[in-house]
Amino acid sequence: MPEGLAETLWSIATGELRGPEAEAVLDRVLQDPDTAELWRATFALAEEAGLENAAGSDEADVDESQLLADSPAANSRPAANTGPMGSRWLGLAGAAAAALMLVWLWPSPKPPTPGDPSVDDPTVAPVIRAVDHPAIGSALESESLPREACLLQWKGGPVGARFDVWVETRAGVRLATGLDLEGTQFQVPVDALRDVAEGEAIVWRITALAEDGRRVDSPSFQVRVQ
Amino acid sequence: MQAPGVATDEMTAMASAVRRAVGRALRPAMASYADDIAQSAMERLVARMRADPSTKPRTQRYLWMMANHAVIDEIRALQRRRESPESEEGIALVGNPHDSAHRRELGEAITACVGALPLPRRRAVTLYLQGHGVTEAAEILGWVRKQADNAVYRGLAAVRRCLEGKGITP
Repeated sequence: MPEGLAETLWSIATGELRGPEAEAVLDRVLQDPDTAELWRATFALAEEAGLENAAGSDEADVDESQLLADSPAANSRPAANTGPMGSRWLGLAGAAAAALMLVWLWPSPKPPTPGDPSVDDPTVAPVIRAVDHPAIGSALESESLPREACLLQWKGGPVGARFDVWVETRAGVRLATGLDLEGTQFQVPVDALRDVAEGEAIVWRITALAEDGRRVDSPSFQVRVQ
Repeated sequence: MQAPGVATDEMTAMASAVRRAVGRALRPAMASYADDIAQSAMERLVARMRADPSTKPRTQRYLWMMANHAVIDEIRALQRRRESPESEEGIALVGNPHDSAHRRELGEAITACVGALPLPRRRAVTLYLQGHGVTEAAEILGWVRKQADNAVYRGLAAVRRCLEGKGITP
């Protein structure tokens, strides 16, 4: 351990050290589970002491939850023991926490609930989440698509946005995802549809990530697979 | 536990806090050592204070910093023992070996995927996976919040794609 790591970690945890100095230590955290452990211990103790500069600072206006919004993973972080920072104790690169981290990494869209009008009634207007861009809507011209060419298309959303696409059965079983797409279409792989019966509807929806960081969710759409 | 110039109840409260912090920080495979580490850290802290009966006032902040140093020293000592196979106190990771191997593979895959991210996103995702919120990550990195938000979101998406490419799914 280089001299002064304890002091450096403490300074980071208490907000006295930010930016490049913190980044240098952080770069070790990923590669070295031991350093990650020391990092966590320091932040935990700073929080216990009430000295952690940023503890609890994810104020109400923060839409961090949207990072994993609609996701079971959003609720599957380790149990918070004490306070807002109680959930942070995943050991990056630590083998024992890997499985849990895997769940945490994987947001999954909230399955459409029965009776959700946006699923059951395709004529229901989408909810407009922001007023400075057109709402995201389906651009499909047909109510059904051949499974060999199940090309989902949409329109709207913030200018310059990238898109995530979530495709599920109506029961909420995920069939396919497309992440960080530049275009406004997504081809559902044939293999993903192998268990979908002829004429069965699949549900899909879009999350747009605007250039300024905003996230905009579409309503759910459905299309039948032929 | 008596320390010069510090009330007993204050030390007791600090010992409890140290125990909680250590318990939260250790990897699960080492969690059983939390009590020992916390106890040793407090003993180390008291010994240092007795060895340095400084007349300068010991602020709360100073005491906590000293406690943290003691905790770091103890965890490092444990890590060294774990890494030393010839040590009589050699520490083995607990748990089913098959599960451990599987988890290790997962951990290595996650590390590789996070490590493949562009540097800013890698740092943001590393903080996020350590449990820091986006706002806190932004503060640590000296970024505006939107920047951290974007980096974490895109970084996580890339890590998921990377893991899927390795055949790893939830």
